[in-house]
Amino acid sequence: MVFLVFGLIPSGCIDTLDFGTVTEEGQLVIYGLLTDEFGVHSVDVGRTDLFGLLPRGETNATVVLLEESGSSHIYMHVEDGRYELRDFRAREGERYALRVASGEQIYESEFQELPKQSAQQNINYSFFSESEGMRTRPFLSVDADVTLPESEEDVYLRWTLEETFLWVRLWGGGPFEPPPPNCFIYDDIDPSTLPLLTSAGTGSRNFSLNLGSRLVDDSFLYPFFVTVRQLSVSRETFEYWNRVKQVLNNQGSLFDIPPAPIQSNIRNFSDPDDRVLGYFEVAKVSISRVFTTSADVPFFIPNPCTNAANPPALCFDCEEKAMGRRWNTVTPEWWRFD
Amino acid sequence: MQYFYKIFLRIISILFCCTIFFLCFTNQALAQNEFKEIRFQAEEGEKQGRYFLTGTIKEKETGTPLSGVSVHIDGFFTGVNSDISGQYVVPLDSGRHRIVFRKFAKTADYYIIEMYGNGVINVELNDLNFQLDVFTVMAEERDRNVRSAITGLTRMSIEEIKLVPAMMGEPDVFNVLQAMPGVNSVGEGSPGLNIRGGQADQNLIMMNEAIVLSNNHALGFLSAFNGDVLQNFSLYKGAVPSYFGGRSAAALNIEMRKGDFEEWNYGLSFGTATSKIMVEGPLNPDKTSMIAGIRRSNANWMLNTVDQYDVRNSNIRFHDIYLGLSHKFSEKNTLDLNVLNTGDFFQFSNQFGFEWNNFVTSLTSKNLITDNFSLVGLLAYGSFNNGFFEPSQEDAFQVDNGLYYLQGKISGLWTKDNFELTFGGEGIQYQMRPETLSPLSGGSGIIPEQVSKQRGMELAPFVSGEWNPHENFALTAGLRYSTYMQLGPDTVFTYEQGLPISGLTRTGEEIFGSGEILRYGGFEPRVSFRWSIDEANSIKGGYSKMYQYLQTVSNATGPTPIDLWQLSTNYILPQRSHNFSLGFFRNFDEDEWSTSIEGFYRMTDNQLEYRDFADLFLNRGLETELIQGEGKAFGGELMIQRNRGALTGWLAYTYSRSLIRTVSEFQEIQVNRGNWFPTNFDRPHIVSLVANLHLGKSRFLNMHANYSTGRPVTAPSANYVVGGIFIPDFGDRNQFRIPNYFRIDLSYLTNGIVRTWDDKFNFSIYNLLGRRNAYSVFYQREGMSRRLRPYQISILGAVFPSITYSVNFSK
Repeated sequence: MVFLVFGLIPSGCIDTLDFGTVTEEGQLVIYGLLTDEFGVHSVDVGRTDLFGLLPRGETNATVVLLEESGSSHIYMHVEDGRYELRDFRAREGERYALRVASGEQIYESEFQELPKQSAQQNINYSFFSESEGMRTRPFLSVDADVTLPESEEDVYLRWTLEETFLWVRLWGGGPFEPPPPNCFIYDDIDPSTLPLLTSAGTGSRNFSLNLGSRLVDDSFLYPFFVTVRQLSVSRETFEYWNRVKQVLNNQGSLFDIPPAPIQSNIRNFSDPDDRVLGYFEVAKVSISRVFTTSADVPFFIPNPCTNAANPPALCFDCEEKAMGRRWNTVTPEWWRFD
Repeated sequence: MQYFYKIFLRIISILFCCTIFFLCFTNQALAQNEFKEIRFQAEEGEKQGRYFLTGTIKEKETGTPLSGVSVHIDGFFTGVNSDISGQYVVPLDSGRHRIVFRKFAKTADYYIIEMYGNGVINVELNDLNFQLDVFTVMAEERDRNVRSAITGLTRMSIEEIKLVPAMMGEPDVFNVLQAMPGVNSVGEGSPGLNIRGGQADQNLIMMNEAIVLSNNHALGFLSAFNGDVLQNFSLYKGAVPSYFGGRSAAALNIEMRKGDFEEWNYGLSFGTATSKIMVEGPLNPDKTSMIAGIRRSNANWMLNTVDQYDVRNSNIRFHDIYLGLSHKFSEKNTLDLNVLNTGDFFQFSNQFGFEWNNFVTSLTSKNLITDNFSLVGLLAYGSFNNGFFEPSQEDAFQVDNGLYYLQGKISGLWTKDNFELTFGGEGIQYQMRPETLSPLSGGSGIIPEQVSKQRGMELAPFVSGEWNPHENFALTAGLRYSTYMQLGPDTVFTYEQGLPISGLTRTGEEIFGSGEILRYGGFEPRVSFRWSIDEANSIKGGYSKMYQYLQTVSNATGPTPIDLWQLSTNYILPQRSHNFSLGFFRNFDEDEWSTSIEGFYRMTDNQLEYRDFADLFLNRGLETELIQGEGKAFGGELMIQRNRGALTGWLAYTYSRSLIRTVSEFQEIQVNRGNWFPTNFDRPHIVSLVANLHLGKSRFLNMHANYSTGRPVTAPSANYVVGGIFIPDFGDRNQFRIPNYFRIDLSYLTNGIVRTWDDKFNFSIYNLLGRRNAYSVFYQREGMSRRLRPYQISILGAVFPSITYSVNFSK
């Protein structure tokens, strides 16, 4: 009987479910981030597709950045619903809004001011492994020690991680042909982790938090950089991301807040029933970078391009290796190892 | 008028469908039990309002006095048993009563007496050993189904409760109630009952008429009422009498046992999940008795066997202590003291935890003032505290909430022949404790915070009359006038006119000193009737209007032990409900079978709903996170019950809908654009089958099967990408449903291993099929894919067996 009691204790209660929902297609999605970092600022405009698929880019929109002082700046369409504003930076004390014209409808965000404060951060990384059944998977973990500013005004922070790694192509040409340039491949790291931190409601100033993790694979054969962007945002923007996090982390338990639609700060003022998805945020950015090389990685990383009679295409082609990620062959100006 | 006409038509159509089914299903009615009619008449000039019925009970064949024969009066066990010499004494009000003498393995003896003088009935009971297959499990009279005057009333004793298999092998009131028609819950591990489509906080739950706000253990798997000290319960889910009020759906009164006035009894119980001790006996024989029961969980060893780090490092524990003291000053004056203390603690690994505790004590005085007039006074104090904590964070914190209340009630009962008048008044003062945030450890940087809460007082005079002008007709009518006052000192926020109230539209605050801030109130008429077509068929109907001034506020999927209790304020208006019910009741084969069909309809104004992503904790302007609306619940219930025989039990089917729509002039805060949508506990079809097979020699094999429609959930209808994050866009609230629920439980009750002891084993298997019934649904990315995939979570995903050994001693 004791065996019976022990043997029947539950061991897990989560199952996949075949659960049909109705897809709502064609809703407008706008996301834009404007920072005080000089360079390119982008806005994505698209419409929702079938559930589970990426939204379709809206290519005929007009996207304008409005300054409360009266100036405006036009974003240029570059590809598949992405609009860019180049050689620009947000200025302290100015308030910005986004206007998007799509078809006959005009959508506008609320005006937002660039936050003044950011936090000190010290970025570090480590490697760890996780057991999955019979196999073990190695991971890179990126963490931050954060010191919030001593100020009466609360600070609201979120982080994004971007990886950049080098991929050295095999050279199959003759002795007089120059070797092909190296590939630099870019991607976001673990965006769903969505690290958030605020000084509101706490007297603590020093925090350690995990910013994200990334599977270790042959991307680590050559130098691997992680660019950590600390974005200081407004309270409203912080609440928006906090709600996104709640929706993403909902585990369906008794104590979870039931999911709900997340309200955007972009509206169609002529038709309040026209609900827009997405957000426009203005952030003060602080950038930190860390890098690792294969010498740091405590795991064996097989190189698919060595000792192979017929090396795969990714050994010769950046596009093959990037697998849909952003890439180019221009060495970034910050690509230094000292 | 047209609105009421529509309601009437809806009830009639539901009942018509049920009646057709009913008539097709059964086609015979037989006579009732044979009652011997006796009249006791006092001499002229010696008439009283209360008399004594006495006598001796013997075994018919041998003439041996029979002890332990229970005396049932008007359908209920009175707690009176014959003593070792077979003698009994029962005080009775003057008038007509139905008396039944019962003992296990003996034939019952039935009497109708007209009590207008002291009387003696000597009874001889036949042995039933040659026909054990006609064992009766009903504690109340089997024809009560047909003859009681109140519709929607369910009563059951602890003996019946024990026969329904339950989680952890514990006989449990809430478990049994969920097997009855019209009662369900949001899901496993969810505290609270949803009665006829009502929210859990719309039920008035009482222990000996004292309000009990927190009434569950183990996140809702068990109620807080220990079966060892429980006598019976009465659930009013249709017409609630006017002497109960303060909630808008139903009333549940749980009667606790009085200690034995003659001998000491002890009970011990050891189980795989709980252990119990019970002591009862006379402190002063025939004058003062006591009963005490202690129950404690011991389920942590089970968590330690689970092969998951977080579960293994979790901690769940609970306890409850009950103490009852009864003193008889005389046959006419008694005083009872009841004390209930419960405590719960749950911590999931080092991530988060909850704790809640409850203390209720009441003093009840029962006095027979004149021959036909008695007074009952109740004074109660209740205190409820809850908290949640997160120990793992750098800023480890704890949030505490709670309230306490004082309840006073006095009611008089005046009886005359075929009329009974109950009248009195009730007052309850609520004082919310400040909500506090505090650091959980020395290193935490959490800044302590405190949010003050409201005070309020509820006053309600009531009157209720039961009139039986004819054997075939009974009418119960009552009126309650409830008044609620929000009391100062308090600070009330003001908001900008023409905009939805929110933190951004706050314009200032108004400070009130001591005294009344606002007042709500209104008349609450209650009516219920019974019309007996013949001895086996009756029709009952009822209407009640009820106000509710205290409600829970939650934005979780279902009720939780840490829900905030909130009084009505300027911005949170009291709930007001209109409840209609109509039923047809029919018994067969000399009450071997009792059946019923009932329809119900309820409209509720100002039902509370939370706004999307409501931030409820430590919020001084809680009203900005809420929205009120209209609720409606309607449905029909079918019950077929077998009361006698080797196989007893019941089959219950409920069709029930529970809908809500928010009402606001501001579209942006409306939920689902102000359209009707199902509540979290809207489960249209519920079927329960309870079967008790008596195997002889106190052995029972019991089964409980439960099927219900899956509850509503909110699901995404689109997805989009923001900043590289794949975000699901959730559509209207509660537009989809989780898979249907099905569960079978088994229990086997048998005698223990020591022949000379009164000991028993209870082997229970909860969720025999090990079915992973979905509690809710959530969406997650699958691996590195960006596609979202639905997952279902089950609170209890496997078979849950338990063993309990109990032994009783008498001295």
